[in-house]
Amino acid sequence: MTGSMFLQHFTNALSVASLYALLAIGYTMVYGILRLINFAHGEIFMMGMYFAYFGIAMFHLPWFVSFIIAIIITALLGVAAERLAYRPLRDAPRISILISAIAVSYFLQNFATVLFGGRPLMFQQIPLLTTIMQLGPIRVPRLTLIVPAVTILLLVGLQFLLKKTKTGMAMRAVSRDYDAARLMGIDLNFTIAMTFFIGSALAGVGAILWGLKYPQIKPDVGSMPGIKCFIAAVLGGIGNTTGAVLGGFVLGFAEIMFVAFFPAASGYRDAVAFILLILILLVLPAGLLGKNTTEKV
Amino acid sequence: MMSERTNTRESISKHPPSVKKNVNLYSVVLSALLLIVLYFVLMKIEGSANALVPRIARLCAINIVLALAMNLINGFTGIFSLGQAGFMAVGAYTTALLTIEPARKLSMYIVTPIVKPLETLTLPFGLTLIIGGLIAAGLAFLIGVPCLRLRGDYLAIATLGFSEIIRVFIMNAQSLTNGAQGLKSIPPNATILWTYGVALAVIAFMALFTTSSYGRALKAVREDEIAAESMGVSLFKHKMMSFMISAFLAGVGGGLLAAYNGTIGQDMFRVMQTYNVLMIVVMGGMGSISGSVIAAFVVTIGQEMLRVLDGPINLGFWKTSGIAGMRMVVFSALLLVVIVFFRNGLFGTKELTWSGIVRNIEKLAGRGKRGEVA
Amino acid sequence: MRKIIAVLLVAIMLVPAFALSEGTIKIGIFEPITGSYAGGGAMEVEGYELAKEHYPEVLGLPIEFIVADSKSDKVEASNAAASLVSQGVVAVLGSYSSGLCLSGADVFAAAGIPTITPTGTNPTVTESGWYARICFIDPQQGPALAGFAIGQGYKKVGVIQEIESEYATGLVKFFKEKIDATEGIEISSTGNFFNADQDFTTLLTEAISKEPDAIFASVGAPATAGLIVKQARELGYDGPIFGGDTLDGPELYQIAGEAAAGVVFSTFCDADQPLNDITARMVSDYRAKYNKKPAAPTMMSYDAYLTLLDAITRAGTATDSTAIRDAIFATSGFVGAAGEITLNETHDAVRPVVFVRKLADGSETFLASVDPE
Repeated sequence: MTGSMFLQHFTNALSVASLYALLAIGYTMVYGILRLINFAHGEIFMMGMYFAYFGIAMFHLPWFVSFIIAIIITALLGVAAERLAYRPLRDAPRISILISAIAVSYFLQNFATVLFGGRPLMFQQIPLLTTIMQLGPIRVPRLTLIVPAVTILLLVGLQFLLKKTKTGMAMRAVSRDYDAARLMGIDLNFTIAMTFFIGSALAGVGAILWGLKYPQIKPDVGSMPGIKCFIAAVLGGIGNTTGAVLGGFVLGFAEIMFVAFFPAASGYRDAVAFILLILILLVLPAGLLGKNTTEKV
Repeated sequence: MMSERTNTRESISKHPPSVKKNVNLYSVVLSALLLIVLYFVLMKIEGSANALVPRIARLCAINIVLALAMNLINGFTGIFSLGQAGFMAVGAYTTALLTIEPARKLSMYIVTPIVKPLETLTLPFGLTLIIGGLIAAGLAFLIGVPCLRLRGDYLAIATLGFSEIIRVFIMNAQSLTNGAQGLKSIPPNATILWTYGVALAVIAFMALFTTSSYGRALKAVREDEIAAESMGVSLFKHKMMSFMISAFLAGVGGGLLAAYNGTIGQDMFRVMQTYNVLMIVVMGGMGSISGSVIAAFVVTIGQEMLRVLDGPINLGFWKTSGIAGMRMVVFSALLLVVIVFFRNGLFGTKELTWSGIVRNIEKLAGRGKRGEVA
Repeated sequence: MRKIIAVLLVAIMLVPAFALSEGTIKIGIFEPITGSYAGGGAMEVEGYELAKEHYPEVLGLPIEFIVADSKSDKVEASNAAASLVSQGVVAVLGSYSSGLCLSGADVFAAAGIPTITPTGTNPTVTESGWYARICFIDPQQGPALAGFAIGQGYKKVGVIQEIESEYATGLVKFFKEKIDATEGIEISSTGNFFNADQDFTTLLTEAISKEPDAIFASVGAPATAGLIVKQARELGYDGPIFGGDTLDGPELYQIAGEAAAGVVFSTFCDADQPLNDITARMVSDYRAKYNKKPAAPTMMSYDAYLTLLDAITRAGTATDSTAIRDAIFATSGFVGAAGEITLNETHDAVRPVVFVRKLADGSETFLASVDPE
């Protein structure tokens, strides 16, 4: 493999990996607080893409206005899902809420099919963001550099929020010990709602960047990113936001480099993500950055 | 869960020992009667002029097998496994490969020729179901060794991962599985008798197994692993047994599904397939055999009945020209409502028994018009 | 609360089935309206609808469509097929995607319902004895595509295929056979991708690194091709990209935009090459209704309807399925919007493979028409 070709693969991987990372944060936040694999995260992401699309196509909003509104609506959708489908089950066995999450994802996908139709729509291209640049021997869409920057920026912002703000500290407290946090007077409902708001807003940002990069919107567009990014979150150590970003990068690079170095085995690519996941789970059950907890007796 | 268990205990202790003796006699008689009625109903269905009715009836039976397979591991053992679709795929491909006529096999492998021994090998349908189940169980053993050490959600994801790996393997093993081309012309062996025969056998097995000492050990593992272990229940051994039996049954169910559908492809065994079965199990109640059986009927028939929602609807005052996908929206919304408001499903961990039915009827009669049924 | 909900649930489950009107000829429409092939299903439904508007009656009876959505899923497809059978259809039209055709094939055969697929090109579709198709088959399309590549003087062709699609892998197989048998041309690389994939940059980087003269994209749906073309151009590849009939759909241009310029694909017909009055009427009415040029699958489904009507007329019965089937199988020299249809002994149409090139404004120009060998 020549150097320039490796560089091209590297930049390809960079943009995929940072998209994975961005979505993985949402998973990890919800898991950290509720110990819930939010299977509906991929579908919330999908709805975010449609919202942004219709903001421009139907209401003729300037793209940045449409994007901001779409991110807010997506965030509210996440909060609504929590309020309607997860909160009533908070004291139920964990498996009930997990199944509820699967049902929410199933519902959103079907709902989108009826609402927006099954035919793929085309996400708008914003030349400011999607122009191609020639950097020496490789060609890079501007987006390839924007996505990692946005991801890192959001991660830093999130760290600030979690460490320095009252809401963030409440989130960490709830994630550490649910009951103790409640006893300390933390408004559990509000804190959990905020977690879903932020997690889903991140899904909204991810959806817009994804749509700009892969401009095809259809009701099942969220299912594969959903599973992949969940794997990324587990790889990094679920519940840990930095871990999620790390996991996203590990997964994205592993997948792309596997195909790059073993092109003949490209048919096995989807197995790579899962084999990686299982290996990590066996060696480091809590993921790359997760804390190993022992089951209390 | 807690309150229900106490309930069952109370109701058992409340009810006088003399009744319990008679229960065995009349439950046998009633069960036999039910089987006879079932036989006639099924014969009536098979002769139905409407081709859809026997098809859906057969699908109900297949879903019973699949739901019970999943219920054994998820409901009775408390291990959240999402690997069902992979095991189904193994069973489905085994049955398909071993029952398709050799001439058809030759013409269907258009990309790469089929591997040698399979080319001409055909076996009786019943045997292929068992072989498919055994291969699935063997695979479950290999998957279980690493996976069953994981707990909770991690196990769910690892099993889901293996299920996808199986699918990717099927997609790539051109000369064995015909890859993306899938398998066609699978003989329609999944008749009413076969599907219901297998379903009844699985129900009977589950009823006996879950009340045996093994079954009680599994429930102990579900309720409290640490307590179960300290009582001398080998965690790994029992989990593995449950996982393998579940995979075996899923393989058998997959084999029936292959014969039912006539054509299979790897895309039938995505994660969605696992979710579909999980929904039946949840609706019926995790840890209830009768719940799974009844939910299999409700979900399968309900999904088919809701098909009218996809077509044009004319209610006189309100007309639509047919919205494709409407039925799935209604179906998934119903499912969500059931999960949120009836978190234990139809039955929770309870079972429908003849003594229970009789008791309820007695109660109903005794209480007269108060109308409160427990 | 729970009780009220329980009652509501039961009430909803009991939504009564609505009786359909009598005295009509019921024709089943067996298409994926939702799921990953929804785009293809929609194109074909447009064709059926337009054809029914033009020819609403046969043998003096009005035609009624009964639509069953296969959800692009194999088990759903066979249930949808059974549901059509149970609603008493005399014949069925559909489906997009050979895999879905095959799921219905056994059900229709068991019930004795003749079926016509407009675009299912996988050779095994018509083996059931009740299925006919009015399109060519992949063993004809694959070599025709190879012939195109040879004719263009390509020396090296990079192949990328959707490994989950029976259509895409089958087409590559027939394509490859002819390439392998020809001197001076070779396949420089083969990359596989999955149905849900959206990122093809790695496969394309790999393929481009072998410096091919052209890239052959065998995909399951036009939208996927759109993404491939877009990403190939973004990577700086400006050589030719070509593919089979699944590239024919509005999504290719919608997604790839100007990048789609120069893409060549084989298809069933070209609406810009009006063959006869039927084509002219179909195309102009379609344009009036949808404000665009009909894609080939739409014209083919229009023709599938016409072929069925012609067969019912020749059979002189709208109830005897066997007679209708035999009349369909005997179709010879029937002229539709997309050209002449003659079915051979395997119930496949013998017709030319048409090559068109996409232009920067989204329209297409006719390149060649390759007659069957």
